[in-house]
Amino acid sequence: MKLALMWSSLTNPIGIADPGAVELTDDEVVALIEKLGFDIEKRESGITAPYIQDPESMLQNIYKASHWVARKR
Amino acid sequence: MALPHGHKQTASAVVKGIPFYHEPNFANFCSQYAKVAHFNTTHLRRQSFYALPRAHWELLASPPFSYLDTLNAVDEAIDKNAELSLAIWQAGLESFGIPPQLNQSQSKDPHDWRGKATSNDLEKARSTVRQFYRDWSEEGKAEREACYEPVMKALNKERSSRSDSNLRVLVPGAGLARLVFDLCCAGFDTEGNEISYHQLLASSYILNHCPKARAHTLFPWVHSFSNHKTRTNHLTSVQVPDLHPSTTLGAIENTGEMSMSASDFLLLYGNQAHKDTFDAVATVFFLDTAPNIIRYIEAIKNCLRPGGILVNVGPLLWHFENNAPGSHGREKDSASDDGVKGEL
Repeated sequence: MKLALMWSSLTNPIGIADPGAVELTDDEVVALIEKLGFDIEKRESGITAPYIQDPESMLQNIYKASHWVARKR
Repeated sequence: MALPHGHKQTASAVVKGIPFYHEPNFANFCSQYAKVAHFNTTHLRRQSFYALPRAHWELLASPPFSYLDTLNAVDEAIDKNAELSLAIWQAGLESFGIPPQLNQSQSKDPHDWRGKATSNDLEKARSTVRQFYRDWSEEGKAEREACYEPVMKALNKERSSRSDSNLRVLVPGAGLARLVFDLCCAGFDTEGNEISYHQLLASSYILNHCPKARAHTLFPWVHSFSNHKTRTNHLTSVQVPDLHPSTTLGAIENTGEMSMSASDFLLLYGNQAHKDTFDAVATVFFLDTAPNIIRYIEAIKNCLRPGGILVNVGPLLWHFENNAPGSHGREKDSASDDGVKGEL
């Protein structure tokens, strides 16, 4: 088994470094998904999801993650 | 940038040009990881320790504290962590022909390393090491299950509802590629996309080069001295990878095709060539890396076939909040082990 790698050149100026930024809430993200041509088929919230968290640490940072499935119309 | 002479590629690799100039510090952080980590983690602590009143440090240097022994153990742990970084770096050199002149540590004054490997480099190396805990250790299984199982369930459900059994899945922000690997094991043709060369080389190493399961010992919590209940917890190690990827894949009858693309997600999957090419896109801890989430959704919509699904799991730690655009990545998470940072 070999991992195939494709390298794309990053010459196009439009991309992640575009100007502008916005921070939405979970509800707003889901509303936006629907506005942009998807149907939400499933939605859950509060999934306990630590991210590289030492379970023995005296400090626990644990996300309550959102989970949804959206279908392109 | 032209490919260096003698460039080799992995058996099935499609290499369209390797813009390694985007990450000129890659060599620094890998080869100098140990030096910088020793300096920041133990050297400065030894200085601070000896700056205590003599009676105080003598008390803490003796049992049951033996603080100087702790610092020595931390030094050894840092060396172990660096072994993995070096293995990744060497495999990257062999596979992708990274120009050796970038490996400045061999050509320059060895006393001059502090100015070259910045704290950001150390943070990246540290972040990559810690991601092995999440993606490729037995101990990270609970974290993986929380995030990857909902994706697996949604895709299995989708597959069972369709007649054409082979779903083509895209995983943007693939990181160390465990979700990509797990989806291939489950029979999905899966393409990972990742923009960070640190992570791409790390995933390539673990998938293609790592000789066996549990080949490396990692000390994921050794860099931070805060919030440890016991010294044993501070110095806990894990073995990675928890399984040998090619052996595991080889034992499964109907695996999916696996590939990785190294690029800006928006550019590659928003283009005409990728229109309507995937049955599913799985975003795990990814959407919040967007400065402009509309662009992300548009790119996802572009590469999804009509009727295709977007499966999402994650929080909304907007990576660009309080950050200048361009400093993408999940650095905020990796910093959070030292305490509560930013808006967390």
